[in-house]
Amino acid sequence: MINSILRLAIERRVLFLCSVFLIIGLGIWSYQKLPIDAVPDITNVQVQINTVAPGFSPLESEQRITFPVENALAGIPKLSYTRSLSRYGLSQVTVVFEDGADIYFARNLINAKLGAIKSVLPSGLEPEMGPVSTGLGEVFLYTVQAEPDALKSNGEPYTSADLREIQDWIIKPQLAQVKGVVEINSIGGYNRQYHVLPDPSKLLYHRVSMDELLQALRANNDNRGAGYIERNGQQLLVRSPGQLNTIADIENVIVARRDSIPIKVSDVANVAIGKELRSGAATRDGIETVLGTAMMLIGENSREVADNVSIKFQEVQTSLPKGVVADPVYDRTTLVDKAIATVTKNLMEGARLVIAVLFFLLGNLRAALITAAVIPLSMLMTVTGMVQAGVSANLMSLGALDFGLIVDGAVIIVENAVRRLAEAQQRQGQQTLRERLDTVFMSTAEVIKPSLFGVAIITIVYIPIFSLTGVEGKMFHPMAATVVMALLSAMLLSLTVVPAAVAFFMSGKISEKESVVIIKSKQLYEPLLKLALRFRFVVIGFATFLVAICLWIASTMGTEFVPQLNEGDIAVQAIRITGTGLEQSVEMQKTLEQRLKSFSEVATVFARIGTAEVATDPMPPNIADTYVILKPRTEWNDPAKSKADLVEEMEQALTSLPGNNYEFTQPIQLRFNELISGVRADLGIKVFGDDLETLNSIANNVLSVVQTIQGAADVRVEQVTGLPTLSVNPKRDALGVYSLNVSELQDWVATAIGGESAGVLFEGDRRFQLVVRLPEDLRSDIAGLGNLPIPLSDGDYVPLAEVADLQITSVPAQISRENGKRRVVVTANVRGRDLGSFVEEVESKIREQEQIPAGYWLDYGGTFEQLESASHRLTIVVPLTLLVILGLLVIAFASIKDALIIFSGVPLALTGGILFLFLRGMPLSISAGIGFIALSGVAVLNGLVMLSFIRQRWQETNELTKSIIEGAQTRLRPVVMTALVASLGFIPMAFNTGIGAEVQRPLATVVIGGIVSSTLLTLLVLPVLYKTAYWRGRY
Amino acid sequence: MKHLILLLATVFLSGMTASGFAAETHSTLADKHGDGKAEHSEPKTLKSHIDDDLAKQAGIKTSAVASAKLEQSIELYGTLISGPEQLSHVRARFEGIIKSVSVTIGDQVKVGDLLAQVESNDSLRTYQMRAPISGIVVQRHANTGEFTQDQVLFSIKNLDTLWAELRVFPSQQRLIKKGQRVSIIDQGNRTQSAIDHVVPSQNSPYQLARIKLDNSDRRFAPGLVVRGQVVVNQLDAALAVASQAVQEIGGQNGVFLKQGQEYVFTPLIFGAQDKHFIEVREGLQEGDKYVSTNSYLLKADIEKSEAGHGHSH
Repeated sequence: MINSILRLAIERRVLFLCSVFLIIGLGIWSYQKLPIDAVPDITNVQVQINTVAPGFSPLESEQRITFPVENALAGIPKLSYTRSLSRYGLSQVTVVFEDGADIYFARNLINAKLGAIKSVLPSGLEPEMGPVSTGLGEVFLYTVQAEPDALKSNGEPYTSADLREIQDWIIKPQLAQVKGVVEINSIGGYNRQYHVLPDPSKLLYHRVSMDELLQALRANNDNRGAGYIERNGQQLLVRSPGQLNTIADIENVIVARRDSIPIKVSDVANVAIGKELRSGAATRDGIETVLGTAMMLIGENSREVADNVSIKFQEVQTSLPKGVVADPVYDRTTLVDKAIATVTKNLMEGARLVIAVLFFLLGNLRAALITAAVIPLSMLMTVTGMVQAGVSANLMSLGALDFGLIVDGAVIIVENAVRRLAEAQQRQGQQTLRERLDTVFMSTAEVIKPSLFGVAIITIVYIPIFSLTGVEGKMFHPMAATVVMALLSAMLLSLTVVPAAVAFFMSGKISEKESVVIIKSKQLYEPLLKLALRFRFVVIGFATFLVAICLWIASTMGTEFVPQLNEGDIAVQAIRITGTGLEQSVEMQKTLEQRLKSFSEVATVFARIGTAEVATDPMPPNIADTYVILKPRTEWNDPAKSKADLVEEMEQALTSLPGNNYEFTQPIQLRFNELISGVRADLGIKVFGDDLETLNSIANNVLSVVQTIQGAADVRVEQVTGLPTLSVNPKRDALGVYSLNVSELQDWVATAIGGESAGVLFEGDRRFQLVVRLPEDLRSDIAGLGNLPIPLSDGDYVPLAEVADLQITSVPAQISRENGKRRVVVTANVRGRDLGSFVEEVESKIREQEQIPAGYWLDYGGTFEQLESASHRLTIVVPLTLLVILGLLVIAFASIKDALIIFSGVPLALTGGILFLFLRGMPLSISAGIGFIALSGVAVLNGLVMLSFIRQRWQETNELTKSIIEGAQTRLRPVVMTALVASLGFIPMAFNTGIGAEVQRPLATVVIGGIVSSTLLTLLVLPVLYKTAYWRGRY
Repeated sequence: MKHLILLLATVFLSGMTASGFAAETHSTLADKHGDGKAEHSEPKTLKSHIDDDLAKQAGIKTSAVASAKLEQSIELYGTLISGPEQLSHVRARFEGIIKSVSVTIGDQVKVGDLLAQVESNDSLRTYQMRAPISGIVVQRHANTGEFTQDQVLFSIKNLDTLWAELRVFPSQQRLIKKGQRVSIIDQGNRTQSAIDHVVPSQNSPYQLARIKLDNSDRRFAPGLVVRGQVVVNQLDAALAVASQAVQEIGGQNGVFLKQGQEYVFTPLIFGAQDKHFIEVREGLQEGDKYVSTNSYLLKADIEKSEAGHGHSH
């Protein structure tokens, strides 16, 4: 069949060459639609269910909201696990689904389940699902601020509440329209509220209760439509407007009548514009600000969305009041562009090197161009394939592409054709067209099988990557898919377009100059080979020794999950002690930001403190996610300074600031870490159980164990205890004396201190809460709270302290659960040591030193979790794949011996990879592992080509040693060529230092090292092995 | 045989490549048992080092420990009434016909002012009704020509003094005593006075602290609900610190003493407290510099490093 395809391609060469235009056209069209991103999206399929429960303490939100929600979700199809967080005023349940679950289907199911439990939840609470977004979702962040001397229309300076209003009602609605944006999240400033602040003594005087006040406000703030009337053929709408609009309106609401005198709101309360009890704040460069985040819909193209938002943003600017500036502070496009620039640079340089090598070694420009043409063509085909398969272009997916590997098949075919054509011309002079076509067909058919077979094997070795699941799967599937697509495209091309092109273009005189390198190598190679054949056992012994040494080296090398992508920016998470108030936290953040801003490399610093409007990242007020945006390197005082050094300097500068702990990461990384496992550190040791006290003490013991282990950094226990709480404990007998219910008391406390919504005021689209609560001086005076009078139904009153005990106690700051069980996490990062061995040591130390009581257990998570699951899977799949390849080889050669000999190239190739990694001081990582996989393919291909030639010779001549030497000699050029192009193609990647290069560096290092060793060893060891295996002279 | 070895080596190698990512061998477990867990016994000094200029930037301020006058007070609510001695219901001494009336509602009268003239039925002589107290005429049921009968003809109320009846609930009763100073607060106006007496209220669980108020300027009206701040205790503390300086660490309350550029948490034994100051019974000496503003920052700084040492409660 292959032969008939070849024959067709050569006969209908023009037609086949014309198909190139189709490929180009389709490729370019697809490229327009190719999603481009910096990194692959590794977020799992998850849905966050947030329930905002104003005033609920962590214990209440766990008991009343989290637990019923968690329970309702049990048994949802494709559910992987749930985890939850109960905090002051917030319950968040994160539902993680199995990979491949349809997010919209999952959300539908959850929606149905939530509807069913609505009656179980406390009234007025509405569980809401978080935006349909992922860890890559935060594509565009901006701050809203006023210029220093800007004034409002009424002549007053802008307050943070005004800025928030501008964000919420001018900027947000416009940006939310941008295609691909799912949510604009706001944090910082204050929501404007209308506050009704009753004076307790006036309430007593007029015998008005808080409840009456609330009722009155609610009953007097509505517009009502009343149908229509027809009059003289005209339709007349009826409507009764009754909404409150101004402070004066509110003041004039009648609350009650006493002695036939109407009591107005203004008689018992002050009405003013006030600030909400906010849960989060934002700062920039040491000043409070309002921060907006554009979140991208799942599956959108982040570059495109960020771009669109950015364009819309320019329009929005013009609609802002004079003096108010919305300033983009983070734009994903920057990173994506940089990452793509790195990849493009690598690929372009690689391609250039490959073309140069081809020309140099083939010694024929036309042949080199034909081979090189495979590069752009297969690339365009790959792009088409990526679009069809929904794979985005990013550092990972494009990172493993090596044009050297891609052109391998074509190189072998073209090389053989050139050699044959030149030979034929030498023999019989100028060939006729028929003869030429036949020669091309012959020469192609000669090598097409081993070459296709080789490519097929390279493709097969990528299969283990598809077996990876979870995060590593999401990370590496696109990479494997892209490489496989590129290889298949190249294979297709070498079967069709390449022979057609050779047949079409390689007319006239074929110059085939053996390049100097090849001639010299051949001169050097022959004696070496002969020598090796003489001392067969020395060579085999040496090779085995080398393999053994490298195995040993590999076992001592560190392991690492994936090298971190350098995002170019820094994220600093500042953590203060539990219970730190938001305002205090903001003050501390301001000092921190001024400190960071003083670095000359820093362009701007901004932070989110606490929880934003939409709780995509529920942080307590004592935590601040600080983004440090760096200037372009060229503007640095010392452009050569490494980012690690800068981070270290910053860390030093910040540690002297009192009251903060820090974790340094990067913006996307921070988000991913949190979304994926809920643990933002390399290692998370989860302690499960029931009693919080016990959980805490176990966690603290674990912590002290982990701290003693070398390499442990940022070790800490999740801050769960110590949220100071003012408890108002009802005295039941005292309540009885005054015939009060507990609920009446609680209502009063909630309204007086927390405030209670009495409706909404509208200003056009804008809506503002109307809230009743005690004046600030009364509600914040803790000592005086007990004296506040609670009105009784008979018009009398009783002070709060009379019916309730006021106590300052400590409650858990947050309750985390996983799969329906309480848990406390101890987190640790690992510095200067590989994760694998660290985890190993932690586990064994804890086993030795810790007694875990019954009903409590430990679980290890964090980044290392993925490393472990990936390695387990690979341990099974890699040998399996190798066996499959071996089987294929056996089938192809009908000889186990031959198959094994070819296979010997694999360990030999690995030695070089391991040595190079070792020499460059890199740990074993999944990236490196992928390099090894690619390498095995190349090694097999090398051996395959050489062995099939030797065998062919042997069958022809029946002289073993001579055939080995001749066959090896003939195949020297293609073997050296494929090796050179493959390794040179990766050289730019191995040495690039741009954004994103760190992901590809280990991979490229392994491949280069491996190819060098495999080529050298294949050339010597393979013939030796062949001789040894067949010395008795049978085949 | 060769290829068998080769096969073994190959499979072994491929296995290793994969498991190379996995956990390494256990051979390095040279079990040094150590001393087990870190001991928590010896008390650590809790301190934090902050450079002076940084402290200034962060708004940390210090004050010297000194003596202070403490004033503890509680707040009570109650109503204003005019006392029984300030209301007079004037009746005719002898029944008769009212001849003339000289005051009407709202008139200000002094003791002895003429209210009305009545002709007695018995003697048919006209006699004068005079005001028994000074005050305002608040009721008048008398018109010329009417028969007096036994009814109240005039009510005169003296508003020059009013009584504030503040409710003293059981939990407050042991604190409230006759003679204590009180500020009566109405709409932000403060009027100083003292508790005249504490009387039980009828049918209510509370007692009433009665306070006489001068109302010659007619500031108050009876029936008004007012807030009273009663000074229940006054003492001179030999040593006192600002209450906002006090922070709790590890279950102990204390303040931060400044020693050079170090701030040392010093647990103290406290006595009485008022809104601004808290008495120090033990642990400090006069003149010690303690952090009076932004002391939370120091607590945060000490506890952040403490968090590492696992202080379980």
